[in-house]
Amino acid sequence: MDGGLALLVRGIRWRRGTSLVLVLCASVTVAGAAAGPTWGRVSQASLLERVLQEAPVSGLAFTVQASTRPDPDASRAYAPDSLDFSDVGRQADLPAGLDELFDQPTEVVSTARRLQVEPVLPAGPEPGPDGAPAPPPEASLGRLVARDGACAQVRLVQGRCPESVQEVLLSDRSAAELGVSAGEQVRLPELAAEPAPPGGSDPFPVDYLVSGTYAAAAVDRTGRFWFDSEDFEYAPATVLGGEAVPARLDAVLVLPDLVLSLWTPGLRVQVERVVQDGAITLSNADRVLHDLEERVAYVEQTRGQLQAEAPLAVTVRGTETDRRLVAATSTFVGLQVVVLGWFVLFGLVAVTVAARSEELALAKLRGLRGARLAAHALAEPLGLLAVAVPLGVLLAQAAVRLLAASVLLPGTAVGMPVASWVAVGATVLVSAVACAMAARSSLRVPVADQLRRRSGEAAAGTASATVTAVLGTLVTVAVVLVLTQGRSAQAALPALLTPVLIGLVAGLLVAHAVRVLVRVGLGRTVTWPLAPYLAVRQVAGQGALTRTTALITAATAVSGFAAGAWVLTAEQRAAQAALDVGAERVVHVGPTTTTDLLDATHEVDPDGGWAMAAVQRGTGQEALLAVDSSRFAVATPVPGGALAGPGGLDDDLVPEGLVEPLVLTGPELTVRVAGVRIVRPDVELALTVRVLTADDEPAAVRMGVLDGGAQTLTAPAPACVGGCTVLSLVLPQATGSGSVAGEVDLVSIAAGGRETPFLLKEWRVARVDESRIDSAATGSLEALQEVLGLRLLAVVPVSATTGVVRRDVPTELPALLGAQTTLQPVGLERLLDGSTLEGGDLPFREVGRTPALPRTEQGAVVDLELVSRVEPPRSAGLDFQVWLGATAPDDAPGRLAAAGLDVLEVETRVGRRDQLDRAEPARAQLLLLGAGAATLVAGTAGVATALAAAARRRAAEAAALRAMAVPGRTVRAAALLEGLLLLLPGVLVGALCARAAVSLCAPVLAEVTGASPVVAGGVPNGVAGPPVLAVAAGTVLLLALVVWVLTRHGDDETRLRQGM
Amino acid sequence: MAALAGTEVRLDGVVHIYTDAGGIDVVALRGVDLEVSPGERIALLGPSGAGKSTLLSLLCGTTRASAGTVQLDGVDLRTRTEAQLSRLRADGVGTVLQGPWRNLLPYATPAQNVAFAQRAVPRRVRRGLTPPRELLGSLGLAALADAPLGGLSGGERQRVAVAVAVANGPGLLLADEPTSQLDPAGRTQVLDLVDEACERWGTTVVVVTHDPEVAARWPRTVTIRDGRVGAEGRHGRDLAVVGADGSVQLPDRLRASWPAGTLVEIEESDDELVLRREGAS
Repeated sequence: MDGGLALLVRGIRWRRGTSLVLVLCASVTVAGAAAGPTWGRVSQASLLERVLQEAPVSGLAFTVQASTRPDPDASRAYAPDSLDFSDVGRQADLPAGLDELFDQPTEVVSTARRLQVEPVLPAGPEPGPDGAPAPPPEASLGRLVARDGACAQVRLVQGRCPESVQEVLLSDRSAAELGVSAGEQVRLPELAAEPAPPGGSDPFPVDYLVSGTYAAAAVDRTGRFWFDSEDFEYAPATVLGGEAVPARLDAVLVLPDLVLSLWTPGLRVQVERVVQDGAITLSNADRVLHDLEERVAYVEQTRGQLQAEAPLAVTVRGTETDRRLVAATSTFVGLQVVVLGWFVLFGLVAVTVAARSEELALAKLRGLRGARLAAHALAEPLGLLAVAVPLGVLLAQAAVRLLAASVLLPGTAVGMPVASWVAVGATVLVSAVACAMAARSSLRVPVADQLRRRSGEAAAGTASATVTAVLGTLVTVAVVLVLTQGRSAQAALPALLTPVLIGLVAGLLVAHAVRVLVRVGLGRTVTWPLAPYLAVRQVAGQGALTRTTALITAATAVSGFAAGAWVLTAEQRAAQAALDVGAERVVHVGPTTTTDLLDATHEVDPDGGWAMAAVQRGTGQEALLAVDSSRFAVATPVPGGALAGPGGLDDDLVPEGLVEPLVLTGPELTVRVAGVRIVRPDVELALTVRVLTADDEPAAVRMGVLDGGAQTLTAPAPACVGGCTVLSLVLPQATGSGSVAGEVDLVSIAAGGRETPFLLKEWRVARVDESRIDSAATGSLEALQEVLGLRLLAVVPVSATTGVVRRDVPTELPALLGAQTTLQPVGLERLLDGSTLEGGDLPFREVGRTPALPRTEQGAVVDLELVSRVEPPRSAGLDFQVWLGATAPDDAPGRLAAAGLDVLEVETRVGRRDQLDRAEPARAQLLLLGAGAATLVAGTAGVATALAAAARRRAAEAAALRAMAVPGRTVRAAALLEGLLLLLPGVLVGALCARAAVSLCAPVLAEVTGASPVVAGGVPNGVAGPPVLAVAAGTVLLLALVVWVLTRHGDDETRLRQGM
Repeated sequence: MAALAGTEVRLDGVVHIYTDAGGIDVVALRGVDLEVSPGERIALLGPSGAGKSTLLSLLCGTTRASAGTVQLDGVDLRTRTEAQLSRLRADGVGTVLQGPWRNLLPYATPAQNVAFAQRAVPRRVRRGLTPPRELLGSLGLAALADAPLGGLSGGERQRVAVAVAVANGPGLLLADEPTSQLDPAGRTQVLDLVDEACERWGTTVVVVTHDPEVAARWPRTVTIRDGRVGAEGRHGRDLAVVGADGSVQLPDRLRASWPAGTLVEIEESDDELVLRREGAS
């Protein structure tokens, strides 16, 4: 077989070392091109799947809803006929291809708002302590809900499911709140306004039989069936700003016909369709998104009274930013490998073609020219490139599979997207062009020159200058992009290409500089020892060899950048994790009282060395974090000791001079009144003491009616048996109405034998609207002259109630705010529009700003105990926590459980960091590390090949030196020095470029890794220095090894024979 | 192998100047006149740096003369394009370079080297060429056809190089020191092969050599000195050559006694020129 193919194979075998390196570098380049988009695709699929798995069930649905508002026109016909409720179900049918992806529809009918629900007392209301009729039981609020199959989904505690429209099923805790059980009745007084049922003459029933109770705790409202139903957001009755707030009951389950027969409260009919598990993939996500949004638009345009929503579309669309981030990051990281790979290929092909210069000259001498000559010259590199394509693709697949299996969502399929094939095709094409460019000068040089072994140095120099100019322009663009849009990762992602570009440009410049310097210093080398003399002359004499300097500069820059970026972003993620969690560990506990939470914390950590109680509401701007401020410093390292001083945040968050709460203990309360003078004789005032029980339950103790003279009022106070905190004394009008003025002299309040005088400094006058700081006072106070006590000078407008309120309930709360938190000024000067944990109005006084608050980043931090005095945290939506500092014992959560807290979950900083590390955008960093390693391997291989080729060219010279009795160690030292002269500047400059690139790309890296700008700004870029130096040192060692091996390779006889 | 007539070579006043690595212009040839008849075999002799190799490169079209004409079969190479010169090298001129390794692809077998040389000619022409193994066989190299080059002796490699040079049936074979570094046996084998090729296909042969024994094998030798044709040998007789400018170079053996700068009187007598030192009677 004498054909061209045989010749090609023999040529490759002849130069197997170089061929292997070329295949390796080409494979790495192709792998870089293929791995980027492949990883991007796989990562996107994992991200989408993870988001869908973690999304609440309501975020995975398509819903159609119709609702009517309460109609004030009582003369209207019985039921709203303006809506065709059956159309809701029809509109929930989705087009073919989309419908199959969703579960069957679930229909829910409920009242649009919560209705008053009262227990029906069997024997009428009990008389009060003073013989007057007791007020009716306070109403609770509940929503009537009829959901397909709901009764089968709950665990019955008592009784049975509703079987008629006059029966309701209550949750056990709602029933307890109302004080009813199965078989008893509840009343929905608002339904009295409903017209009689059609055909019936009886008025609409308002009393309903409690058919049974179900276990509220057993309802998993986040499950597919309950669809995150808000109907289970139970909240017991409470007091807000001295006013009673009714309880919010769990869903009151009824039959659909009952709800459909109502119109006064308004109705809501909703059909819910939840997408099936695994139905949404990256392949169909965009189509589903489009179809769903189209369906929503269609329903809204054609059915004006219906409201279609596609939370699934919102969920999927919410992944778009991260998906783009992942895809772009992967692509640009892969591109780094590609760019450097091109350069390595260019250098390698140039070296190999130059090594074949005599062969090409022979071909020209034999008459080969044009395409045939080019084919002969390029067949080998292109053939090797062709071999490298499948190898590169396989390498990329293997790397991506390995990475995906270890860091992405288990089971994520790894395919080869079209983008990867396009990238591979483009890489091969451009690599082929690189090969052609590299071979160009050898092909064009006159054969006579080539036979005389004169290379095309001038042509190479021109090409190098051109490459430098092009790369320089790209670097400038990238740097400008980063500097101007660094905070916008989407726009600045191309900046991830800067390391390789900066490295290449700096490398080419360094290569030129090295060449110039050695030429300038050439004249001085005559007096030098032989080894440096030879080394400098070799570098000066072989301009093409300085390309290795550029190559190793770029390789060091990319690999150093990868290592530095990895460490920097790891630090950023660690800081972000610390900020996100707030403490080393945060124990989430079930709903409890502030008192119990604080007591338990103090019980497990009496010295206050590592545990802190906290309650959190929401996140971000709206967040409110209430903490045990005296322990803040021991629990959290964030935002740092500057804010949390040795005494915690006490000094900041607890105002000076705040009085202690008045806690009374005893079965009855006694209030001594010195006198009452009212300007209107028709008005009598009653006296009620509002207290907070030991369980933070609000309670009112009705003391009785004031008769005008000195009087001692005593009333049973079951709420104070275990101790109660006095909140206020209110003086409602027992008789008469309208505005009133007068004086009430209050002397003391007592329970359990302990009498406490009313002191002016401990009380203030109630406001017309207690929830508003700027609301007018209902009078004024002054101290009594004769005895300890105070005089209330009341001026009470219509429909307001006067009274006195304890000053230990703050009227404004010191708050530490996040730097970006914006709260509107309210009422008095320098106060802001804050709120309690329950959302009630509460002015904040800003005591400071911090770049980022723990856990919430923005929002406000207040003192837990103080804010609880205003309004105890009760809502199910609140997050009760105990923060554990770094010195907390391992069994601290267990101790908290033993102290009576219901430990739900332990969140750790380490776990959060692990979570951040596993996020898909952060995982793109692994690709960057791989890219760094790949470029270092390719760069070293390229350098080794170039040096080996140079050594071969100079084999005869080395042998001649040996023949002249120059010691072998001198020859080797010369080679080693030459290598270091070429490579050391490259490594040093590459390391500098890597460090600069890390600083330049830090904002982009922060975006990629998921760290907030505040956190990113707090992590110094200097942490990237050591890893960059480590990479540089490793590179030097690696290159020294390569040079040493090359100098040891081959014997003099071989060199002589080759050189002759 | 097609039976081809040898190429007629004619050089008239050929001057070649090149610039060396230091940027200095060097005159390699200073008006060479030479004619070689088709099928003639000549040996170019002369000291190192005399311009022998330059003359060879002018003949194979890899270098263009600075002045004068180089004609092959009446075609002036200076007027030919690079493509035409390549074509000429493909099938009109075979070249054997100095050094056994420089003529062959080191990784290819002799047969593959011959095939490689034949790739340069157009496919239609290639069909008429002797296949590589047949060619090697006809030149007595059949046993070496598939042997790795690394295992061949210097003489064998050079014989293969000659075979490769004549693979396309060139009318002119140029060889630069084809027998250097060879032992006598190898030298003889190589020269025999050149003779055989020349006799079989009528190829014109121009061989550069330092070796008088090599030169003695052929009826005509041309000695180049200082860029000029200084002498010719015809069937063992050494002849001085009158140049176009009327100059005649002294034979080497007389140079010592007639150093440069010696003034002479020249007299013509019938077919003789008499040189006499100035003042001598």
